[in-house]
Amino acid sequence: MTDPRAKPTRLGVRYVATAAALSVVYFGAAKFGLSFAFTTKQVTAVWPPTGVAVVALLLFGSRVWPGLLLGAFAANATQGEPIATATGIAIGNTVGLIVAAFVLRRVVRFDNTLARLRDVIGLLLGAIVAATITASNGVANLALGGIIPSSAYGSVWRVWWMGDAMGILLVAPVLLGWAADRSLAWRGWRALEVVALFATLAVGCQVIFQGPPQLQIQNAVFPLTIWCALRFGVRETATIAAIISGMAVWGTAHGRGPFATGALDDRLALLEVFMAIAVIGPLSLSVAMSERRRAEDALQRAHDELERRVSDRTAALAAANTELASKNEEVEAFVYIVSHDLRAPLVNLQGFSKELQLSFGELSAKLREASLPANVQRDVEAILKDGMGGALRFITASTSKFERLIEALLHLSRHGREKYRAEVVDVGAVVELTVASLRQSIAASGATVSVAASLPTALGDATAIGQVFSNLIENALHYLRSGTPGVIEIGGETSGSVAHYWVRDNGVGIGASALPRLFQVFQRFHPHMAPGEGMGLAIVKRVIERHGGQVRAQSKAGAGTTFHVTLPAAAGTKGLIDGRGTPRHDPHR
Amino acid sequence: MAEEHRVTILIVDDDEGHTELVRRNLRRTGISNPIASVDNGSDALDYVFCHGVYANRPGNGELLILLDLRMPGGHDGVEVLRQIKVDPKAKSIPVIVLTTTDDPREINHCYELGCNVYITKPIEPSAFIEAIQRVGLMMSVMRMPTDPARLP
Repeated sequence: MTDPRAKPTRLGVRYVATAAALSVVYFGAAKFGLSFAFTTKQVTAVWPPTGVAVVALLLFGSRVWPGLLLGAFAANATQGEPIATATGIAIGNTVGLIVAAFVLRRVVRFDNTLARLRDVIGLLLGAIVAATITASNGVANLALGGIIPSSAYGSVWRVWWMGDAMGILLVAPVLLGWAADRSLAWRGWRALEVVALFATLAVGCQVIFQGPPQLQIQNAVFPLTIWCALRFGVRETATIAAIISGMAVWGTAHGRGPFATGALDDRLALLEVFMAIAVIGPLSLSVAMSERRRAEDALQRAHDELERRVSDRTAALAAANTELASKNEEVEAFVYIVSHDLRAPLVNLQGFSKELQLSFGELSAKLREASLPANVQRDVEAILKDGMGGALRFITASTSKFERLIEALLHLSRHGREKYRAEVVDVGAVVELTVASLRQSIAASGATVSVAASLPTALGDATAIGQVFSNLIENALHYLRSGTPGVIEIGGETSGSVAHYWVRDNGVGIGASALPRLFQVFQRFHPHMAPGEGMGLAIVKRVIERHGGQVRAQSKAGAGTTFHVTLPAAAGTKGLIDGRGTPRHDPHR
Repeated sequence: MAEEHRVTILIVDDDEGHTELVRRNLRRTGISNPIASVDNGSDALDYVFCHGVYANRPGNGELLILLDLRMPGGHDGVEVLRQIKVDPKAKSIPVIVLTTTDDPREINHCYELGCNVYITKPIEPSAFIEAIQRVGLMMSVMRMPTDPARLP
């Protein structure tokens, strides 16, 4: 509960000043409201003090109630009411407003900045609760004091109720709105718009509420309030609604404007309904708009955050890619240098083996000329031929092998270093050329090579792509099964931005255990079947990956192998270039 | 033909084996010119410009240089080539680059600096001998215009 006894020692200067200020403001607001009184002194269309009091209770807490009580008492006592009646009314007003503030805080979970539609509806509920208590208590006190006749109870209650409720609905949003945001940061066109809005409002209100009663054009204010609600915030909308209501009450009180004719009760009822609509409608719209703006901002922030993360991620990937590329370059450079440095001693090994061979020949010739005893001659020849000659043959064979390995490494590193051209490659034509260049090996193997009638075009380097197919076809030719006629099929298809090709054979196949190492350098799985250093597939992988594609093999031992290769597709590109660099027509014609 | 007028062949190579192989194969192809060798770049420059230990080297005759590119120390083959080819007197000396590197960029660089012939050292012995024989042939061709007096 909001009991001041909860903090009895905290009645500081600040608290006393706040409470005192509230009583003064309440009193002033009451006098201001009474200046709009219609007929009887207590009957006002709007009772602004209730709005002031509710805001004070919401912003400073219920403990400022003594200020409220004092202000209410003073306001009523100075209207010439008996002290008892004034006291009763003051107590009732205080209790009603404290209950309303309690309902707002605890039931509605009211946001003092009127941020949500729920707060506008809550304020309406608070106004109804407060007005019901204060009106009932007020009429009871007036009746007890014999100030109003029993016939007027109903009418006075109704007017009291409406006035207090309107006081809260009209005044509280203005005060809460400006308390939440006090800046006047309108610049340029925005400032001009504010001036235009308020100027139109002033002229409009003057014409509508100071005009003759038969001019029933009060609804003309709504475009203005909608303008304000759409373009400005809650505080401006609440202010405009309050100004319109004030002008309406002022005009009516002075017998002018659309609410100036007819029976008092009817006029009052129409005026109250008009004011209620004038404040609740635009205020709801305004709050809904700011809720929407906040949602949009949140969405934008989420979007920005997502974009930021995506760009962070992209940057990280790009960095990783660059790092990988430079690592790759380092490795290529290393391979290149090592292969070259290894060549120097190899030149010696080979060269001096040759020198030894020459000397060996000379020595053999000299020995034949020399007349040695037959048994010595035989022994020396055996040493020369089997001993030295055999050793020389091994040295020569090994250095040759060494040389081939180094050449293969150099070859591979060159494939990693060569600059590729990015052009539209007619892969069909490239494969045709490749197959033609392998004609002799194909004929020797007795295999049939069939190329699909059309192969998709790709984006890349024609020479390198030709090398890929050459290696794959040669590979297939090397590993055919003896006794089975070899069949090698080459096909392809485009799916989206990827051109997919395959080279399928019915050869010996590759065991599952060997598949993972298939594309590594110096891997040979059937060394007895074919010459080579095991570089062909490593080069295929290198070339394809440098094109941004992928290569994989599908195989079962004894059931043939299919190599799948992907390259960036060049679909929809005109003016195709084939392997020889001459323009061609669409190969799919 | 007087001995002092014969072209001296200077082999610049840090690999003794290569130098020996080149020497033997040149002799085998019938080249009988004097052959000198150094195993680093600064000695090569000293030899060419008659500096240092080569200040009083014998023979003021013409030179032909067989130059390896990859040599340790501050003066690699490229630097030797550059210094020879910017010198007004020395730049007419024919330089045959004989090296293991077949990098096209390096080859281009050497030709830009003014090397006369670039030969990659083949590993295969017969190819190596063939290359050296080509060098010998070239030498006999290159020698002639430098000494018009001995033309028949």
